[in-house]
Amino acid sequence: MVIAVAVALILLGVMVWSAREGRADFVFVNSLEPRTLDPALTSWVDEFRLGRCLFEGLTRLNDTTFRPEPAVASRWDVSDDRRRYTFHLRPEARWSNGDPVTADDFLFAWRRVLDPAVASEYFYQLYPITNARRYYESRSDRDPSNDLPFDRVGARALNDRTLQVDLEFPCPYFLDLTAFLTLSPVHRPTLERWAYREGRVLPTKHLWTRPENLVCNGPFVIERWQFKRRIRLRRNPTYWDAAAIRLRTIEALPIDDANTSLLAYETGAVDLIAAVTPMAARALYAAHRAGGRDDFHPRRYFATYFYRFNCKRPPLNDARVRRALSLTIDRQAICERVLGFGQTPAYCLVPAGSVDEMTREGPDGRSYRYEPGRGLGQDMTPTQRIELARRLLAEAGHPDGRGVRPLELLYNRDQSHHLIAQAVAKMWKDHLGLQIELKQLERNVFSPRVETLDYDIARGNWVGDYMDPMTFLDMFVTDGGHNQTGFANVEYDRLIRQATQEPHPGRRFEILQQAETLLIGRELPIAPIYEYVGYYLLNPRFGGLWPDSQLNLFVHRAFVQPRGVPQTVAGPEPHGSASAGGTLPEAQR
Amino acid sequence: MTRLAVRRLLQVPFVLLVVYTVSVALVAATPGDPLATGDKEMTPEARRAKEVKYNYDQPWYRRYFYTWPIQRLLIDRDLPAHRYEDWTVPEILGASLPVSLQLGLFAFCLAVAGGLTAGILSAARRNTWIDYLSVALAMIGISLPTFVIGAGLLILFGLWLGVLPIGGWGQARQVILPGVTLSLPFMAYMARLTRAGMLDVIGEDYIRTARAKGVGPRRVLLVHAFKNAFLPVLSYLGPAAAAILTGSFVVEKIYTVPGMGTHVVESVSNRDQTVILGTVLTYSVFLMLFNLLVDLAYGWIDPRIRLGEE
Repeated sequence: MVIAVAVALILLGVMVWSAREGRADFVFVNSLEPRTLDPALTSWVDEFRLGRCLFEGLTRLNDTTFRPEPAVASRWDVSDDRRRYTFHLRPEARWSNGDPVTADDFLFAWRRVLDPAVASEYFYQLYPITNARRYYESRSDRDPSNDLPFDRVGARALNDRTLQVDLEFPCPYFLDLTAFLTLSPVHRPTLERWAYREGRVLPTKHLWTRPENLVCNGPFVIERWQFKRRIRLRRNPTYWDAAAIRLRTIEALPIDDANTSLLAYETGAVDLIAAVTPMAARALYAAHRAGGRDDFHPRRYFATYFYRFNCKRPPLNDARVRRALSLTIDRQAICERVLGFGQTPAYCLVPAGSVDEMTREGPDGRSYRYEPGRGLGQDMTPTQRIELARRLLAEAGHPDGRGVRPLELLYNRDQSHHLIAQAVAKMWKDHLGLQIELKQLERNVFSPRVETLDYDIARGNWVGDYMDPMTFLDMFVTDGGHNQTGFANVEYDRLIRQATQEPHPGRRFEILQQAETLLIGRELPIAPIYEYVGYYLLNPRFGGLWPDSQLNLFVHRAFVQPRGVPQTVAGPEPHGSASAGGTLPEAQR
Repeated sequence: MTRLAVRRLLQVPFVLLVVYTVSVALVAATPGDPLATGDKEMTPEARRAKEVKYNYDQPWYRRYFYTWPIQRLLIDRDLPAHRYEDWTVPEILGASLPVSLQLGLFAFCLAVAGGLTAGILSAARRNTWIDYLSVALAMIGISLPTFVIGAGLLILFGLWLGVLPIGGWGQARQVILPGVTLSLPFMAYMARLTRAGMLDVIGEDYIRTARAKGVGPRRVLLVHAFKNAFLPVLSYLGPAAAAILTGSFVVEKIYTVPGMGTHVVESVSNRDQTVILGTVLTYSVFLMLFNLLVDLAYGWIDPRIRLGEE
């Protein structure tokens, strides 16, 4: 017993002695340990937050307007047909080892992203570039003889500091894409040493992001990465805009328990958290609405929650049945009674709350705004909706739900998915007389079943990758990779194609609006349910973090607020264009 | 004694082989796609690249005999985990096992010290307030789930009193709360075992003899009685040590301790096959090791028990 006590004390003593580091200038909770820091492979919001500290592309998003602004490229020329961009790289842009950032670094990075063997999840962000899609697809079969050479892809270095890019179509959001992490440059010698050489993925690829190996060009470099403990970043002295960076060190802690991270925030151990439990979020939201807790920042989020219908399976292959199902969902009740921290009902796929941030300027100098499509049931009263739903179901040959087999509703394991599914199933049963079987699945079982259309109804969501309606709408083209409903409509495909080729922003938005109306007003392969809200808690000592509708939270721009100045968030609402999507962290999926 | 140790050590590879085989079979029988890690669509070629990376393209016997055990767990080439693409399985175990061992050793010492003290005290002062208090605390320790105790301690010491940090790992102060939380159920169970064992023994003839010979009450209790009362506790210590030292998912999650317990659970829901195999095998090795130590200690404490020397 005495021995036991002695050992315990000695252990404590050893740990006191073990090295202690001071607190970083800014500490934030990243709810998940990143899978990787490789910019070609990152895809979670949490990973992007770190990635943006380490890498910077041709453009970057302004931290208050979220419009693209010069970054590694100091300026660019755009051809009259909006299909050729010539980027001029700034000479003072350097890697953290002192090497200049060259046009070739971008080409090397893009070529790597477009190599299917690298398994980047965001390779399609490069598809607007001429032949990028053909390049990727030619490599996606087992036959190397038909592989397109990379010089056929529309990107070339005119010299070390000039990069010319040809586009497949006049992509109005291309400068948003060049700010996207997947398109950032990588330091070629480092990659060739560890990760990727002569078109082959090297076995040591996981070593290149280690602090001792990583060469990056962003505002910070990585000082220490203790697996699942902390990632510590240090200001990068070679960063061209280092003068604008005011934090010396940043630390990211992977606290995955939402209650613990809230406690850590409340005690001041961390300065920023972006996820709390739904219960805490409701309480904080209520306190915020009542005028307290101004360190809690709820924001609309560029994401939509919806249910997918399997359009290949009877009775859901009948659009009337899908319409009836969608009409019966009482979205208001779900937002207010099930969720309850500011979510808004959705009848459209493109989040209607974000249209202001998608404004584009036309060649005539006028700015154009996207008008969301007309969602089915949007202007009706609840009674009208139910009446129409019952009529549609009867027209489809199932009055009062007769003759419909029990339908299975799949969702991945999560408390709020479960509550919503229960509520919706009850609405369908009460109003339409349908039998619904709820099925909660683990993620690794859920995703393959949705991908292979092995479901009747399944929960889904989408977070926009860039601020444009297209990121939502092009999902549902025939055989689109994220379609996953079996929906195939020639007219819809034609509209999306037409919008892609249309250079005038006003006309383009009109075409997209027609497509959206077709999708969620008539065909309904999905039933939108609500628009997400994002939120975060920020220590009032700090400024410089502007909330955008993708919850990017540019942590590297934070600074200690001079006393007496109200928090920056109290300033004007952010407008303009933001990009960088990312998959929701586990807690919100 | 030596023969016992040698024989048991020789069994280790066979037991590990069985554990490994059963785990592989269970992993293979689990539904779900181990490659579906992201939310994004996976193109056929990306899937094929991942299959090659994680050796799903190989025949099962090659994976079973070579890729998983040798290439991935031992020589550590080229083979990151599914969930943590920048880290290999040995690195993950190497980073998390020492954490679990440190925390576990601290908690284990606490549990032994606290459990034995409480057990002996309550047996010696049977039916006094000390006894009632210690029995009541032991009941609470056994019946309250760890996540309740953990959250309660965090709120009390971290938030209200503000004397201990909320979570994390690396400083001595960060060990105390998770250590106490982890040790409580074991401590409580040990207290009950000790108390019961002591009460059994105290009535025996040899205790009366010792008293009659004039041995002081303290010495009777701590040396004569305790030595025999300790045997049931001892057989509990082996599995308890293995369980404490290899980490606890709940404690690690509440206090953000980067230990092994998290990987045991996470790897299963991620279908991260080699991490599953790595953690299961590590746990097996610990269990066998501590059971062997316990058996050896039996013989040392009670010379009548000489396992392996029938």
